[in-house]
Amino acid sequence: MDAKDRDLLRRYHEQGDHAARQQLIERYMSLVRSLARRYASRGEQLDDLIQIGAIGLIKAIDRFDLDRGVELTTYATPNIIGEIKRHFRDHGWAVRVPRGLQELSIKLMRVVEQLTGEFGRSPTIPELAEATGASEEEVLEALESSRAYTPLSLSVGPSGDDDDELDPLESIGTEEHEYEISEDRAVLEPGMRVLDAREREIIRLRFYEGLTQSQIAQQIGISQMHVSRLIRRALEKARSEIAPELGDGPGDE
Amino acid sequence: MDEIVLKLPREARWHSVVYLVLAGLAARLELTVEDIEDWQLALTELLGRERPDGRLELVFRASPDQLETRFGPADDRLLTELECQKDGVCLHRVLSTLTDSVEVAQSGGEHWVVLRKAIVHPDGVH
Repeated sequence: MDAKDRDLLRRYHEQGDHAARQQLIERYMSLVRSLARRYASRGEQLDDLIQIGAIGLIKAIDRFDLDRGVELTTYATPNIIGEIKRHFRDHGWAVRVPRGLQELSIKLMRVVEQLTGEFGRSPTIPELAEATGASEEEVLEALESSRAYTPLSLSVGPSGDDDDELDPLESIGTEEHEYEISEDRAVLEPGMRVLDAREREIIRLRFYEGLTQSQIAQQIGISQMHVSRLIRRALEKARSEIAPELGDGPGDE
Repeated sequence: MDEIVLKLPREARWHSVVYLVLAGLAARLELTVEDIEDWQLALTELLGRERPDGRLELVFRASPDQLETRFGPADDRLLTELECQKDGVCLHRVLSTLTDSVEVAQSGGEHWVVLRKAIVHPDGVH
């Protein structure tokens, strides 16, 4: 095994050094990206699959047994693929969304933004049904499907129609030091360590500043549904990090 | 107060049933999309910590101005995590941001996580 990997794994497993764990995650993200790419053609966003694969990587790092004498890559690969496959299995119904429902999802993204602006608050299901001419059940189904599966680019802004639009989060999220949070000790707190800079910023705004999804959307300049997806993804990553600290960590499995 | 009880296996493939029930309730109660999102996120946080064995029960209680969800029985691991008041993305912080109140109730020797959130009526009337 790579000496650096061995050293990092020892530091994490034997001394509980979370910085070492974070370094291992970063070292193996290229593996996650390459594996996620294989599955990206199945109608899931590559970015989402990378995040899901990263959870598999984190689990592999946590469960890795140094005495086994295998490479971390050998052990991590099936874990990453397993996590991605589990995602497809658990959300299988959602990735086979009928065309009509996909179209309604796209329409709803736009209508939600439009009515939020018009009413000064988030719309209800009956209001969305009336505005789109769909039944309440269809609206619910379309909203549910758009959560697990977004037919549009994640970069779609409030206008909902511009795939080439620059993602405002991407543009503000490239430099770690641009975030106030990075100077905050919260960065080192449970759950925050595995998040990238933009995820930390969204989490800070929602759970520390108490802003609503719409307020965050307005502040950053993306859609409320995009904010919702980012929060979901960040919380999922945070969960997978926090769980080992509470008793599922190395040696407990 | 209207009550809807949902019992299901703890396996992840059944979790979407919880969201469908919640969505149905949300439409009847005229929750806003954002409130539905908050409830879904709160339940995802709890469901995401489930071990895939044993039974899971959710009791939704709806009054004109409040929705309450009882989730359980909660195991020791979940209770320990709820007690954690550290900074970061702690479960208690997340749940208490998404809902108005988070409590652990005891019933029949078992623990239940009880979440409550006011229903804000769009037009200010019930």
